[in-house]
Amino acid sequence: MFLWACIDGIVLGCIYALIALGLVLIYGVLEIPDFSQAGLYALGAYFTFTATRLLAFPYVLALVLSIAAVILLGLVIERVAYRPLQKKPAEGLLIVALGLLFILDNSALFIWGHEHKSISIAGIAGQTIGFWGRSFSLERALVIAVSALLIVGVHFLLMHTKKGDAIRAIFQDRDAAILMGIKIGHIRAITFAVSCVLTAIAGSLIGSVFSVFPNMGDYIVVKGFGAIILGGMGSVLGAAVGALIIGISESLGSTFISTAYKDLFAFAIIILVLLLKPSGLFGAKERIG
Amino acid sequence: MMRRGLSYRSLMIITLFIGLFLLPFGVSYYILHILVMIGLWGMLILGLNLVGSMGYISICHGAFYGIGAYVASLLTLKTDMPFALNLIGGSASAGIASLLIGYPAFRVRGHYFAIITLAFGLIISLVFHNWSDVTNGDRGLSDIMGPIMDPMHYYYFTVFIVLAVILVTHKILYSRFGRKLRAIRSDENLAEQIGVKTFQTKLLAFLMSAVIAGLAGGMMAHYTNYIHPDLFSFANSFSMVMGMIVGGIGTTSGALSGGGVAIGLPEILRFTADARYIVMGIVLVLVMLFMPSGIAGTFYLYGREKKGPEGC
Repeated sequence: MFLWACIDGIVLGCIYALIALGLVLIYGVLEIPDFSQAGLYALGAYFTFTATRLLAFPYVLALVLSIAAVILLGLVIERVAYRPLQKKPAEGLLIVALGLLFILDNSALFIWGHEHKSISIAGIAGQTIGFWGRSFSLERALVIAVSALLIVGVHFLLMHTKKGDAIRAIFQDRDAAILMGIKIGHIRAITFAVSCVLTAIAGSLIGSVFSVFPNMGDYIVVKGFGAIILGGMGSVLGAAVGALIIGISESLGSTFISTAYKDLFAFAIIILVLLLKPSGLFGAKERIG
Repeated sequence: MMRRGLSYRSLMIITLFIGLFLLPFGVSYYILHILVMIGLWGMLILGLNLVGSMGYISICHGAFYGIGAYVASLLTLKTDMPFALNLIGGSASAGIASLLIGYPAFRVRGHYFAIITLAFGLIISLVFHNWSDVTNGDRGLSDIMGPIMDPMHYYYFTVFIVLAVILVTHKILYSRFGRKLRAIRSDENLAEQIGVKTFQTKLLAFLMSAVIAGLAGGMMAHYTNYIHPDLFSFANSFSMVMGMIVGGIGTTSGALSGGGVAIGLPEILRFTADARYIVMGIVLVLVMLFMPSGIAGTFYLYGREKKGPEGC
């Protein structure tokens, strides 16, 4: 029972980790708490749903189309809404991000309606693997595998590529990085696109395990930020570990204490950690990697 | 010159008072209702301004509003305490809640503070929904009767309380304490260096703003006689912040016009039906892009108003 709750928690944690990675990258480079990722997460899931269910595309093609559409939307948001606000007061960014979330959520509601939808992945839908005497759905296994791959991929991108060096340089010292000739506009767009890829995949994956609905991202984006705070604000690996902690504690809480309050455990953990260790679990500020 | 400016100002205030007094005679109950709600939201945003003028954004004032409403309603429904004490009980509970969350939340700065308060707001909202024994869950609490039942009387009561809150918050913002708040906004490290006890100052400002939100909650519950959890959701906390920023942070006129926007805009946009929130979001983003210092701030830039708290 305990073990299974932990594994369910890891599935959740993986999704939170994908979102948290996107958020921490955007926060590091653009200095925006980008709540609109929650809307893009829902739209990513809806795009995949529409392509697989209504247009009968295979899942992988649908996923690619969904990623492309989300990247496009993300780049438009970055260019139209965030870039003009660079020099304005910081409260404005938070509000614009929340306003965009409002727009995206309600657009999804407007287009697809209230009913919960679900994405079925042809070939693995409904199949399970036996695992220590309990069946485990293939979709969940897929979530864990793909997330692990993506997390490693982002780590590789940051640590071993030239763009990654540039992103880390901006994390450490923005002004110095610009003075050294890093094209900030270019890096902003790349960072946003990478986050959009993570977000779209997270939405499309979770849509096969749970259901797709217009404000499915609202709690998740808060948990993603929670993971960043847990992980020490600005540490990419810390955010991933924080996300797993939140996922597992949420799953344990809902299994052993109460399902109605499952979101409460995640938020309580964040507040508790802040009380005990304000700098987060891996609290080296302004560091990345 | 100065003297003429002053008498002009007092004339304006007297006109405003007479206008506020006469207003309910000329309008329908619907407009009266909107006016009362704008007053209550003006209160909420006046309170939120105390946090906003430190440069912090709190996205859990919906929770304080709700705690005030639920505690005051429960006191009215379950005990025989007088109305005034029920309201005070509600706002005191909101104050206690604000200390519980403010203590951990003020350990982080900037956007992270906003996110922690958002998480707290979501927790409280879950409690309202799920703690059915006390809050009656999604069905909400009804028949919350106070001594003032006539909408017009309630309007005057609201106007009186809102004017009192304006007076108090104005005094606070222009006091030594208010200057500390603005010092924190412009440079928190520097403020700490010159001897401002930043943590206590922030906590105290947060407490005061929560107390005001709790009072507004209690008043709202006894005005509509019915409350349910959705009134205190994330969307409402967000509307408050939106009202504060669209109105202009740290100004009284901004808070009241922000309340007008937060209540009035959804009403005006009723004709757009399902697309209402999309339109609201777009309006909000456009306001932030083109008038980032809000309604009051924009008028301040073009008018020759006396230097507001913002400029000190």
